Amino acid sequence: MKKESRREFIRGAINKLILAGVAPSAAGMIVRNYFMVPDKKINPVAMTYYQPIPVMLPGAENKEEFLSRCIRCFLCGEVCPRSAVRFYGKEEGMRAGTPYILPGAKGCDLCMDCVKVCPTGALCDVEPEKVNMGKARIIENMCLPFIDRGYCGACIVICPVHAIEQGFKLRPKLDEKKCVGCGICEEICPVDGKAIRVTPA
Amino acid sequence: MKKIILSVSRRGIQLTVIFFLIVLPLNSLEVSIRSQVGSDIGNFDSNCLSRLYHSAVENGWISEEKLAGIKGSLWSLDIKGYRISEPLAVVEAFASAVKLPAIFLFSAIPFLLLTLLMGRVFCSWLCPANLIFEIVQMLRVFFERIGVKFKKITFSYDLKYYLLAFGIVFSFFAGVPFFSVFYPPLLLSNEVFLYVYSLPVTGLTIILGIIIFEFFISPRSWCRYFCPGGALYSFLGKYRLIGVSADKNLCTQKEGCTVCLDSCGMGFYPPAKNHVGECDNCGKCIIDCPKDALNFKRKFRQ
Repeated sequence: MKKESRREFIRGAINKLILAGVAPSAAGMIVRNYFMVPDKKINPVAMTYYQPIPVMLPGAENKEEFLSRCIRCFLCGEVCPRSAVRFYGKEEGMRAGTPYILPGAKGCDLCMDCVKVCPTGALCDVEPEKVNMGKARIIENMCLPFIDRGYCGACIVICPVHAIEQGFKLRPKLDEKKCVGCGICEEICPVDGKAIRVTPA
Repeated sequence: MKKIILSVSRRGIQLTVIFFLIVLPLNSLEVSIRSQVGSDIGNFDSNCLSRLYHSAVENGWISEEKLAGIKGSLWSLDIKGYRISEPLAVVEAFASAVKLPAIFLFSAIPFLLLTLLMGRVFCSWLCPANLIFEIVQMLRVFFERIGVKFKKITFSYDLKYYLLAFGIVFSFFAGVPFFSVFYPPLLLSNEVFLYVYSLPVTGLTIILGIIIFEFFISPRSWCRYFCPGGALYSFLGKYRLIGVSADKNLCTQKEGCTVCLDSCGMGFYPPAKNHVGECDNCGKCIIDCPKDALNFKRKFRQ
């Protein structure tokens, strides 16, 4: 009788260990290795049909660290003065509820309110000039001054870090070292299909 | 008198939580629109909530300036720079990230103290999902009285502790917080946020699934058997100071009275004292007791 009860106890302990220890660690390893597929690298310049590509928020350069810290409290979306922050839906799996920015629809103006409000430090505290969300690229056979369809200069005026300078005939000249990929130039671009596009970092 | 105060105060606190859940995102959206005159931020007047909010502001029921400093939901609240978070958020973020700012760890202290002193009161007095599940339970009881028969399946109360342990270990190995994907109060506040900002609604299917499961198959099953937050709070509140206890002289337990058993959302029977850690101190049994035998009492006095 005594032996059997001990055996039962051990069996129960092993069951509990599997339920609360082995199974979650195995599931976690599987999710980490096979379900955290990185975004497909799309070349925005080579797209046949234009569609905006999502970029991460400022201060979320390291994607893994960001995902491990984000607790989906939606505070960044609430404080964003331009309401540029969007959230992934449930079809994104474990990434559901984390924030992103669609520069083609609504760019970021680097006010850094979301960085200040983030409770877990998922968005690291960085200066606006040192943010690395991506890089903008000008498509020269679409940009109005380049194809001599008049003067524009919208992206030159709007750029918050002064990465775009004006060249001959107000043609934009991008300084890639200064560009942080905020995507406000992509939002403001008047050309259908956007002559300046942001590649996520 | 005591019964009226108890029931009114609890419902009042629950409704204020829901009220702030809806009003805070609306308020911050309105403030951001005011700050950027001329820019078109979405279609703010599209949904009925924003119209209600506008009429409330015009009538002077809500003051924008007073609410402007308060942001977020119960999961992570920001009151003019002071942070309050749920302990579950801190636990899961700590498991998945390990390195965290100290402010975030300290932000769990208010709810932690509340739970250590009063037990699992977060669930019954503050949780917005709990209110919805209570309404579902009321509907179920109403239909049962009419004569409809539902299934009533019970599980082990220990299941939620396993889910809590599972989630902590999972988020440690996966590097992603596990509970924030499905934790109902968080999902609810996020859905309200998405509706207010006219973004696509995503996580409502989980809450609807729980509601259907509770209504047809197993009453109050989420809070009783599955909720990881409830598990954490009942684990922390095991040695609480305040709990429900029965007066032996007044209680008619021996005559077969089970009014408190029927009213309890967690499925406990207070006179039998089988509710040590998991009672959520909602006070429903105290309100419903016909003999006034039940009361909140300090534990160490006994």
